Amino acid sequence: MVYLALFQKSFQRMIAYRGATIAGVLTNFFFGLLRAYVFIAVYQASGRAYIGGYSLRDAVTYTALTQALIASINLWSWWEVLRLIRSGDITTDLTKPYHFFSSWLARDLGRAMFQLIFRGAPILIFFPLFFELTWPGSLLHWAFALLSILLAIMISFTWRFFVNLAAFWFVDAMGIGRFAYLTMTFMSGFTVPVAYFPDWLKFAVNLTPMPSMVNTPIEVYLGIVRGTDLWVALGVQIFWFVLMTLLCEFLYRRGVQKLIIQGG
Amino acid sequence: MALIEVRELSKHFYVAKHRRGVGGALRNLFSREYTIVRAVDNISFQIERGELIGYLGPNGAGKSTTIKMLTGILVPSGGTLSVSGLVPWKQRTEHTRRIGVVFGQRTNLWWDLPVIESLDLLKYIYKVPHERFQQNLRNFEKLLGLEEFLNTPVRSLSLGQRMRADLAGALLHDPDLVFLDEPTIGLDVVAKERIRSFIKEINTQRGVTVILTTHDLGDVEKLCKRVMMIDHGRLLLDGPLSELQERFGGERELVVDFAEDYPEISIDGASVIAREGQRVTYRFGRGMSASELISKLASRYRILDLTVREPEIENTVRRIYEERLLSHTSSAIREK
Amino acid sequence: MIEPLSLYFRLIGARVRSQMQYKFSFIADFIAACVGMIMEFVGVLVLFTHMPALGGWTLAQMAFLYGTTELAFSLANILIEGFDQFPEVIRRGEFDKFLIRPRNTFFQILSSEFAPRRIGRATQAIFVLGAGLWWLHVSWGPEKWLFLVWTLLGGMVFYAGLFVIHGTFSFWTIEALETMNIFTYGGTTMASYPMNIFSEWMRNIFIFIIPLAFVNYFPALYLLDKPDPFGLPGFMPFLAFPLCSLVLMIGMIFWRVGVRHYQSTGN
Repeated sequence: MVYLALFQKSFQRMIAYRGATIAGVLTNFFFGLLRAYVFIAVYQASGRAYIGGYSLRDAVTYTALTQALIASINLWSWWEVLRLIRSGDITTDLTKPYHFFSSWLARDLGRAMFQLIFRGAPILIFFPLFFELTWPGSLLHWAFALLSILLAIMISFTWRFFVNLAAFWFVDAMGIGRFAYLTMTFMSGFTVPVAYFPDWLKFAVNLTPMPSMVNTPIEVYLGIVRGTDLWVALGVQIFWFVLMTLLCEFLYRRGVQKLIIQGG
Repeated sequence: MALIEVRELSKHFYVAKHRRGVGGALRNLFSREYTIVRAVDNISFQIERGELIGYLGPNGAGKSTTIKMLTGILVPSGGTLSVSGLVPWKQRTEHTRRIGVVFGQRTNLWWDLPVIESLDLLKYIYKVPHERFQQNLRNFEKLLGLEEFLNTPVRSLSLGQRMRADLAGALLHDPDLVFLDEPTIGLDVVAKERIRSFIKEINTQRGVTVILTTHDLGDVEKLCKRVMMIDHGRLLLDGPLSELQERFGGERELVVDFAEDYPEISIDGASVIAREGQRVTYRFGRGMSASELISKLASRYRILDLTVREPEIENTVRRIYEERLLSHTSSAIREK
Repeated sequence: MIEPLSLYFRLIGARVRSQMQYKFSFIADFIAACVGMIMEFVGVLVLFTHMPALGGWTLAQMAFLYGTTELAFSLANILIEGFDQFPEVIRRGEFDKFLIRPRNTFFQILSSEFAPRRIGRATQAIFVLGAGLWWLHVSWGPEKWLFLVWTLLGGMVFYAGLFVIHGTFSFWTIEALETMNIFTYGGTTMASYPMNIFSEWMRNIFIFIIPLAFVNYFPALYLLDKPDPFGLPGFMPFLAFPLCSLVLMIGMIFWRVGVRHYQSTGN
């Protein structure tokens, strides 16, 4: 199948960047330590055992997990579709025997899978040298956590794809994109867990797909979301993935039409 | 003293060898094997002020490594090198003030700025006095036809226009010596001709010494009296263009118009390659001179007219590259 | 001294003019950096809804710490953009162009780029720093205001030095360059928190090996009349500028080594 081939190829392509992978792990790891100490100081200063349902150990695990997921969720930059639109090469993709959105999703998943294994896992493996972490208690729990991470990667992809599509309508889509990515960092619960937010902010953020990209998989992993809430959380993730996919497809078609009518 | 003195100049690069596979990758971490590439291998030459030299060689032969050492970009691994008494890489700023360089493949100008602004910046970088700058600019405008695109950003120029702008940029500060690396690459005939006449002009009128590396033998034929040829890091040939023809020209042709139809026209030492009525074409090697052949023919037949055809230099050089007419040893040596 | 300076402004001016051809892009980037980067501090605000102080530092004092390092960092970023972009120059093989000009290469790279789009980051830093100073109700004499300016300049020089070192590494490796982000981006993140919350080994690295603590932590202790939790000598804040300059000097020496390495290997 063509999508599987695209997935494999993009996974394999990452192997070539060995030095960059090691450098990335070191950098993400360092930031993880740095942020962990901030949370330790926060718990000391607050004098509380739990903040927003997170114990100190949960909070430290949260820093390790966010740092481990950075590369696969690819929070900060992804411009491949934007470049295709800018150069007009996107119209040549119309002749290819696959579905445009799905082909890029397959490629992105290949990349994300590589980075989950080679940039994410090492951080979780070596973090216990410095701090005690929370681990899922059962195999089933692991399975749910991984499922939620997979959904998070897919939603983050739809979001990035959506941002890239802005290039159909705006000359300076890159500036818009940078803004979108930076806001997403905060709203997704990457900077601080969403549970720490004041209620009004929590409410507002939960109306967006952002928390489903970072916050949800982490809370699933930590077991903060469980029982019925777990099913709801996964349901919300699926809902956002479907909705965002439909939105992307709709906008992509409109955009291509515009390009063709105007003669690209 | 000559303008450029090069003695036993060498440049070696160490290239790490990559082992394949996972095991190989692990072994690469601990021990590395290097291949020494002798990009320039023990070459010597002198260049006098005012010469216009064609520096030839196939891709990867060591041409641009030599140029990079002469311009001060690279430090030699061995040998000595001086340009008007300066050691380029040691006295880089002093040296670069006196030379001009054009790399055909990429521009030295500012991509987003109009040509005139780029030239203006170069004026300040090279500290060119204002009057001199104006004078040179007016001169180059005329010779290179810069007016038509002086206010166009470099990114929107055609290749030929860009090359003209770059040439002007490289000569604004009145260098004694210019290096032109593939200045006619990718240009059409008219643009080539314009660039060539400009090069000729600065060489003869201003006395600028020019070192020209090129693949276009038309450039060499039209411009250069002296040719140096390098391959595998060795200087294979250094001499007048005519010598190149004589030594490696291979076979020449003699076209003869006979006065009548002779049934038998064969001659020892030459072969007939074409015959059209009374016009016969002979081919002969370096073993026999043209006059020898002509006198032999003249003693037997009545001749109306004849012409000697020299081989195209392009063919000559191609033969040298392809048939490895000049000896050299393979220079990549494996070392631990 | 005057001549290189005027050439510097000429070259930078040319850079700015060519960037201004994409005016709208500049505005979009400005807003993105300004609003986007301040989210970092909004994170700190959220943390403060759960505690009165962090490591003994109030929110206003935190704003001061954050503002000083971010401002120094972003100013350095604007000025030293040429070194930030330098890996790209190496990758495209364009360094030769600089070597054939009769000018110092450090000077040429410094004047090759200027990043007004990074003004957005500086703007949010000024905003947070201003808010901090306002909340703190500082009543400083001129010597303390002067010391603040001195500190910011020192910090700028410090980060400039780190960016130079970062860029210079690309003479050897491009792939592993990201590790340097630990010291540049990691540095400014770390410096926006009080040093005493970090573990000893980490702190010692950033006091004694890479003098990050001198960028704003020790100067802030002096300016805000806070006791030094490590009991280090009282002149520590005043070492800030000399030590920061030392980082830039090391960067410049390293640059020379890098250029010589390039000239011998041809990259």
